[in-house]
Amino acid sequence: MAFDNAQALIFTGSDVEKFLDGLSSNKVEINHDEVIDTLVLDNKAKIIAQMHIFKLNNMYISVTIADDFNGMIDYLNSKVLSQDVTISNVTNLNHIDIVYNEGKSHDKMKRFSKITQIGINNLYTVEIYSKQLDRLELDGDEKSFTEWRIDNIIPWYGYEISGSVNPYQCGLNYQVHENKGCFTGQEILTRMRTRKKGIYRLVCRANSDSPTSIASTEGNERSLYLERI
Amino acid sequence: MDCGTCESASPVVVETPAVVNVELTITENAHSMLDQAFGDDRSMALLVGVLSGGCSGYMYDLQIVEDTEIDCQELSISGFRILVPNSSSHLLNGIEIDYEDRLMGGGFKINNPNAQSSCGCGESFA
Repeated sequence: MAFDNAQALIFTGSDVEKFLDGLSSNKVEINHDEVIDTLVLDNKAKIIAQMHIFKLNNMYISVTIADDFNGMIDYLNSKVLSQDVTISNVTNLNHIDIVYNEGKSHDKMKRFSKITQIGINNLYTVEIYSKQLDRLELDGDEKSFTEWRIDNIIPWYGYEISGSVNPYQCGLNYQVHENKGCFTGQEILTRMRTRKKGIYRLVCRANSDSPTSIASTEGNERSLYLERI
Repeated sequence: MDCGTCESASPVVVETPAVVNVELTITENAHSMLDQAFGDDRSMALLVGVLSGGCSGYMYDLQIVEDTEIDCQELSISGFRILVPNSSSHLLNGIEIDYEDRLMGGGFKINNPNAQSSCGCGESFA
């Protein structure tokens, strides 16, 4: 499926890893062929962007999803200061597709010919390839992807995830590293965790069991719900 | 992502904040601590910088350096050389460098009129 609301960003410079780690909810220590799923949060812990970061040659590449992409770029640039970090947007040079439901192993970054594949949380794959190549044949549409997403309990932008919620309010708990130390938004998330307040989990229920009017993602037979823990 | 064009893609164009001529003050406590740290050798400088990160988005970075490759403005305050990176000058103008002598949470503190909020430990601000 075409992943039209994702952006491909390249970060270069000697301070990139430190820069991304300081702004990330997850630890950014990228080994060879690894993909790090992380979030950039504001100081109230609201989600600015979701990033899937991997390393290619001397570049750090992020498949990035954000409510307000230009605002996110401004935010990142305001944090560069005297650090050796340059950000380039190469979205217009690349196709970005989601491959799902194919029973593949999706846990790492792989390169096949001219296609780079990154595995997201061992559930699905994002393929990135040059727009100089014809777009690969795409299976599935948003509707079938949504049904698959409900079955696999995956939160998504425009449904569970938005700029007005924090990771604990939309089922992205696993993208918050609890022991990494300071990152933007960390104090609020730690307080929520220690007081066990305001934390939600994403659950899948049959439509016959719960009113779909309160579902975060509505499917044909089953839907996703955010449920307070 | 293998077409050879990505690496030459131009960086995102951003408006960087204007460089401000920084004014800062040092409290008596901080002065005596810096006196102890520098001793008689005033050729060294205190680099007062800002890094991204921390709980609130920016973190203070204090270092004693001989020199730096970072583009800085140099101030002379109470006989100390103070270096402030131009790229962070808009965030540091008007700060007061203080020192708190406490067993827990003590050390150099920055009181910053530009900060809208800061985190509990005082190292980070927004």
